Amino acid sequence: MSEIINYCGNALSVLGSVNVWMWIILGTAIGIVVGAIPGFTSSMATGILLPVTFALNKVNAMVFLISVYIATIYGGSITAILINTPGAPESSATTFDGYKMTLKGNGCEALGIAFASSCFGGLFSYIFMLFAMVPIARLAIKIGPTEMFLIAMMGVSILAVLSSSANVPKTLLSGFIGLLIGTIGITPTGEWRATFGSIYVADGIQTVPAIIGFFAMSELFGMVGKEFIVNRDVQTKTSIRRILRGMKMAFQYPRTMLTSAITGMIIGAIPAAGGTVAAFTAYGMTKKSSKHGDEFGTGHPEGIVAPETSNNACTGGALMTTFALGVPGSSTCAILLGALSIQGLIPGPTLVRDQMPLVYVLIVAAILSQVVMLVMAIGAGYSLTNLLDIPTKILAPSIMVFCVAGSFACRNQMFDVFLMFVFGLVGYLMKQFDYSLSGMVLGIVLGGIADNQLIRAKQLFGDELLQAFFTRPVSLILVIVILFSVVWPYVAPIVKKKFEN
Amino acid sequence: MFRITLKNGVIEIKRELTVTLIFDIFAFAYWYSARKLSATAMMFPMFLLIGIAIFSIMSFIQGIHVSKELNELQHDGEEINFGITKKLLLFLALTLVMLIFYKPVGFVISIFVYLLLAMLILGMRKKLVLVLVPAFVDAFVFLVFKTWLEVPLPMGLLSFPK
Repeated sequence: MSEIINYCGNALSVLGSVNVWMWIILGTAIGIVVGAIPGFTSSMATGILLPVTFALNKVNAMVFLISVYIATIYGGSITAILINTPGAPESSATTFDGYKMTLKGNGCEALGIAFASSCFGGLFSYIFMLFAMVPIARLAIKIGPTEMFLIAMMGVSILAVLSSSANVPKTLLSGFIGLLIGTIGITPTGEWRATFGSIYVADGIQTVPAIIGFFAMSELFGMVGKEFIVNRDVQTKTSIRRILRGMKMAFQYPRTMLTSAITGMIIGAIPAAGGTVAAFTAYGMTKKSSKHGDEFGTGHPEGIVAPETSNNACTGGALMTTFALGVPGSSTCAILLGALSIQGLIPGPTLVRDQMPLVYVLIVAAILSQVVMLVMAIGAGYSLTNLLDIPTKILAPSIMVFCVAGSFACRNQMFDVFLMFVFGLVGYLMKQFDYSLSGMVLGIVLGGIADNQLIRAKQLFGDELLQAFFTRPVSLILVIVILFSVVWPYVAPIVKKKFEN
Repeated sequence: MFRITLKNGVIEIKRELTVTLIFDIFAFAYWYSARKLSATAMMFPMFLLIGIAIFSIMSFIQGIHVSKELNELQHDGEEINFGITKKLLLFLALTLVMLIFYKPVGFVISIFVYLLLAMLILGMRKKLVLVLVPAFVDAFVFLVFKTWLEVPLPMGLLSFPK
C-alpha cells in the first residue's frame, strides 16, 4: 500500500506542471471534437496526432495521446444522443435510449446522464488500476521470453474470437501478414531480412506511416464521394442547465453504474474486445436485470447509464492490458503501444517492472483528464453539433495534408509518405471486404517483439524450445488461450445450437 | 462476385479474394527475398508463412464456389467493383502527383495547389473557400510542423524562408 501511495505522490508532483496540464486539456479538447464527428475514430485521431508527440517528452506525449483516446468516447455520445449517429462505435448502444430521449425533448438531460456515467466509469476503472498495477508488476517478473512471444501471438489470435467463423481466416491472415511486415529489417542475428535491397526498411517498417495509412487514410478514402459525414434531419437546441440536471439523474441508478463499470473494465482488459462490446454487454445485462427493462429502447435514462459507464470503464481495462502485457486492449491501444516504443520504452512486463513511476503518472493523469473532460464535455455538448456541417470536400483533402506531413515527420523521408499511401490503399480494400485492420496494425507493432522473444527463447532453451511452451505453466495457459481463440468461432455456433435445443 | 461460365457449370469467385491474393504475393516476395537467411533468422517468419499459406487456402475455399446449375442471367466477369469511384480515382491520382512533387516543389506550394484541385474535384465551387482553406491549412501545417515541431518539411522552390 505504501508503495502505491509513494507512486501516486510522485505522479502528482510530476503532474503539477502547467505543461502537462496543457497537454491534458489539448488532448481532451481534440478527443471530444474528433469523437463527436462520425467516421472519425479514436484510432484515426491518435494515428494522425502521433507525429506531434515526437517533439515531446515521454510523459507529455503519453498523457496527450491517452487524453485523446479517452475523450473520443465522451465525444461519441454527443452525436449518438442528439442526432442518432454515434460519433464513435463505442457509443452505438447509447443511441437506443439517448436518441429516444432527444425525440421526447429531453436531449440535454440525456447528455448529462451520459457525461456523468462516463466520468464515473472512467474514474472507477483508473482507481482500480492504481491498486492493480503493483501486484501485476510482481507477476510480470515471472514472465520469460516464451511467455512474451505467446502474449504477442495472443494479441493477434484473440481477434479471431470476435469474428464470425467465416471471417476467422481473413482476420488471422491480416494479423499474420502484419506480423510478417513487423519482422522486416535487420534481425537480432545481424542479417538483412526481406528489405528488398532498400536501406529505408533496415530499421524495420515504421509504425507511424502504417498506423496513419491503415487507420486514417482508409477512412479518408471512404469519405470521398459523400456530401457530409452525416445527413442531419433533426435540429437540436442545447442548454447547460438541463445538462447539469441530467447529470444528477444518472446517480439515481448506482447499482447499474457499479455493475456496468465492472463489466466494462473486465471486457476492456480482454485484448481486442473493446468498448463497443462492453457497451452492448452492459446494456443487455442491465435490460435483463432492471425492473425498468421493458422501458429500455423507449428513452429510459438507465439505458444510457449502462453503456456509457461501461464503454468508459473499458478504457481503463484496455490500458491495463496494454501497459502490463504489451497486448493492446483495442486498436487505439495498439497506437499507444507504438507511441511507447517511439519514446524508447518497451511495452509489456518490462514496462511495469522498470517504469512503474511513469505508469502511475499516466494513470493519475487519466484520472485528472476525466475531470477536465467532464467540464469540457458540457461545453462541447452545448456547441459541437455544428461541426457536422463541414462538407467532406473540405475535410478529406485537409486531413490528407496532415497524414502526409505526419508521415514525413516520422524520419523526414518521402519513403515513409509513399509507404503510408500504399498502406492506405491496401487498408481501404481490406475495409471494403471486412479484413481486420486492427489485426494488421497489431501485427506490425508486435511482429518485431515476437521475433526477438522467440530468438531469445531459442538461445535459452535450445532444442527443448517446443517443450518449453508446454511445460512452463504460464506458457501452457497462453497456448490454450490462443488455441481456444482460433477454434472458438467454429465451435460457438454448435454450442449455441445445442443450448437452444 | 466474379463468374466464369464453363460447359458444366459456373465458377463464382468472391471479390474479397483480391486482398488475399495481394497478401499472398507479398508473402511469396518476402520468402523469396529471405530464403537464404539462417534458420534462426527465418524461424518466426517461416512459422508465419506457413500460417499465411493455411489461412489463404481457407479463404480461397470459402471464396470460390463451383455451381453446376447454369443461370442465363449470369455472365462472365460481371460486377467487378472495389468501391473505387471515378471521383476517388481522381482524388488518388491527384494525391500521388502531389507526393511526387512534394519534395522538388516544396510543401507550401504543393499543399496549396493540391488542396485547391482536390476540393475542385470533390465538387467545391465557392471561390473564397477554394483560396482560404488551402491558405489556412498551409499556414497551420507550417506553424505546427515546421516552426513548432521543427520537422524539416521540404521547402523546394521557396527554400529561402528558414
